[in-house]
Amino acid sequence: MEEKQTLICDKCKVEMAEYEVQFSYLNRSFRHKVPRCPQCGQVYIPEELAGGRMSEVEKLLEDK
Amino acid sequence: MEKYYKQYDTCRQNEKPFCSVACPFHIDVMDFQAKMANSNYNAAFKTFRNAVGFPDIVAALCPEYCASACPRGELDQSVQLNLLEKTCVAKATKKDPTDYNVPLKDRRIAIIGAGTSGLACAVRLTQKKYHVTIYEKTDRVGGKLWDMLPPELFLEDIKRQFQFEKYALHFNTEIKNIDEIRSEGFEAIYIATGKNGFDFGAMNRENGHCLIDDGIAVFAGGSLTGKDQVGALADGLDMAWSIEVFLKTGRLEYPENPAPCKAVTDPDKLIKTEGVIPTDNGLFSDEEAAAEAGRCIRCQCDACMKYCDVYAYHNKWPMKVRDDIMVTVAFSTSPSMLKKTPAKRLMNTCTRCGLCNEVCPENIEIGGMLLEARRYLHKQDTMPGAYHQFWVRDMEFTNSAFAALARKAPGQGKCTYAFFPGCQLGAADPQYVLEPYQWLLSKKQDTGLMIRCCGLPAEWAGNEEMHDKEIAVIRREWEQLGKPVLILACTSCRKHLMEYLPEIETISLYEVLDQWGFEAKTRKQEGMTYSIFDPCSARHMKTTAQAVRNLAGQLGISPEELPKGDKHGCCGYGGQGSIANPNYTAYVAKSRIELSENPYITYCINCRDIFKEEGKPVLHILDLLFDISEENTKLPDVTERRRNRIELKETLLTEIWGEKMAKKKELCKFKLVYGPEVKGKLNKQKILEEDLCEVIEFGESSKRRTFNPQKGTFTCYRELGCVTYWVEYRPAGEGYEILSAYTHRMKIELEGVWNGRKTDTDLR
Repeated sequence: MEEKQTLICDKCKVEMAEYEVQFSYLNRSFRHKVPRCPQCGQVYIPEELAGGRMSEVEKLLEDK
Repeated sequence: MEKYYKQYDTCRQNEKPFCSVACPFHIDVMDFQAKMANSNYNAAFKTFRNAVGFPDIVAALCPEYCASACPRGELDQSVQLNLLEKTCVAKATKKDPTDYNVPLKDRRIAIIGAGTSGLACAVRLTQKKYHVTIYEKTDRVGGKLWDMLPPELFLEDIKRQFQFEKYALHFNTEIKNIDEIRSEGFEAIYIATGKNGFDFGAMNRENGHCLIDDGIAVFAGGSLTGKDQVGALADGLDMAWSIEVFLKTGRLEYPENPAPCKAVTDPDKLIKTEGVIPTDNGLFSDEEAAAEAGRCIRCQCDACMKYCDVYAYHNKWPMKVRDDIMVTVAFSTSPSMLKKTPAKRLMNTCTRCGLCNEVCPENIEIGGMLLEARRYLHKQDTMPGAYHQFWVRDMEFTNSAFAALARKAPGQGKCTYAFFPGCQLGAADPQYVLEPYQWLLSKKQDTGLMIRCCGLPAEWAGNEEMHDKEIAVIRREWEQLGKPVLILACTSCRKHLMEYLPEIETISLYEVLDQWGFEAKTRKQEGMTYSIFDPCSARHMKTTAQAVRNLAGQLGISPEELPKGDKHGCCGYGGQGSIANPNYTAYVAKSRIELSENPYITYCINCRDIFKEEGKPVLHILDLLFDISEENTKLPDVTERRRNRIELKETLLTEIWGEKMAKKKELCKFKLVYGPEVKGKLNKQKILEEDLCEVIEFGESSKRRTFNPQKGTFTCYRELGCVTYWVEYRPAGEGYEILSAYTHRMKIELEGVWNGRKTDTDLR
């Protein structure tokens, strides 16, 4: 299994952790857990999420 | 929108085929044949029984009224529908009717005569649980059937169809006057007394063979009115319908006959195939039945399904597409009413090729409806922004000071002609504009130049306001040049300008090349075979199409025509639906590529680019004339296309006007390095180097970025319009190395508000 990568918020120099983020698209809102900086709240969206689940949800909402 | 909705009133989608119109039962032939083709005899039997009432009797007696209507009749042999029916009734194993548990209705109907017609009427009405009383003057049911069929066949069928129904049957009871049964409380009477029987005065009345006698509806039908046995049976079923209408509404009506079929027989389907000879004791075997059912070409108007990419790809019939569009548009205007927007993606796939109304025998134009729908979405702000953002930004860049140009020829006070190459030609390669322009100048010194986008991306995005502005700029620049004749290299631009700026006289570059005596530098392709792919926008520009053929001929190429000439759709570029539905545009491109195995010559740079991208050997006619690129020349990526536009303007200013570009824009603020894999990814996702720079600039200045210590990379994002761009990078020398870039359309909300307080104000 791939080793879990550590991510650091470059502004606060603290390790990022999973927190909920609110997303919105086509007049609908939803929440999902992604890495965020516990201090400033900076969000990190990994490529796999953007190209995977997020893209699927975008397609679903566009067709709904 | 109403206008477009109304045009579907004449759509022939639900029209019955020729055979079905000729058949007195109007059998659903499509359904029957589909089931027979799959050897699904029980299902086919059900379809057949529902149409005819007594399937065994009809299969035995049917004189095939349909045979003379079948278009196969003139070619080889009409589809042997009666043999298929016989096979169906012989092979079906579940023949009992459905026993519906419905209470009897307290409505009384009398039927006089228990022949085929009377029984047919009775079977329909009893199945609907009406209270039916049959009077028969003899002592048996069946009437003339006794002279035509073996008794066991028809008696069995009659028994089977009536097995679950309750009714009263009086033998040896001849009714000669309605008064005899008036006291029974009947509301309707069906007279089926057979040839030369009593008609109770119902024949040949104002509304047909029917009248209302003291509140009782009296219908006459069957052999009494001159029908043959099968016609009489069908008449009985129709009268059951009329009686039910009378009971419900008090009106005397007959079922409407289907309108004559106007479908144009598809020659591609009507291929000579002799009728199948039955080998199973006069019936078809499974394979034979499937083969015979397969001979049926399912006559139905499907011109749009065949030609229009939108219908064909989505496999949706016109009425369904119309309804989906209307629902989607209705959502845009009142979201609370309807929750679905099923056609949002579909309406953004139309390539605007205009073939829809040309192939439709009723000239129904779905293209116009889809464009109107896009405008609705745009106005209501329900259009997914990412669908058109790239293209609109591309247009804005082309029309910006960095790439656009509108000038009279050097040293010329007037401008008789001006070359308008369009936005994509110079982006593909500056030589496509430079070479022809230099040639034009050599022929007519006062040929000016107008480099800009014609505004089509704004129209395709449904943005009318932006489109109007673009059109106004073109008009103004054209007037400033002295209203020259515009020489257009792109047929889409030309079609567009002809529609929105009819005051501008236009001519295609290829006609000019042909007429002004162009002589090619090389004849590299001499003797080679090419098919000419006419761009969809040139479908009505016959002189342009001819000029291209003349030019190709000059080069020693004998161009071949595509099998359907120019009756084909777009290459997939039109309407700019590739972001909304990339699979659709790939499907469209593939369909066009497969029209011929020959390499193509085209005269639209978008066709060239799309086909090349899909691996088709293709050249632009300008490649042949000016020796610009080869079949294997690589296509520029999205960033290189912008660079080409800047380079084109710079070169033109230097070489033609001897000037330096006043304000040279650096496309990228930073030096970026990346490998071929990332390059491919950027191009596929339509991410420009400018976008990357903007994201990095923000990350660097705000330090709002994520550091990955294992890889030593930073990742940050920026929202540019409706799309969020992410870049993973690391510093490399004076610039940055790009490791990855990706996008999403969702918006990240409230990032700046963390733990109940606003932490960052510079987030977009």
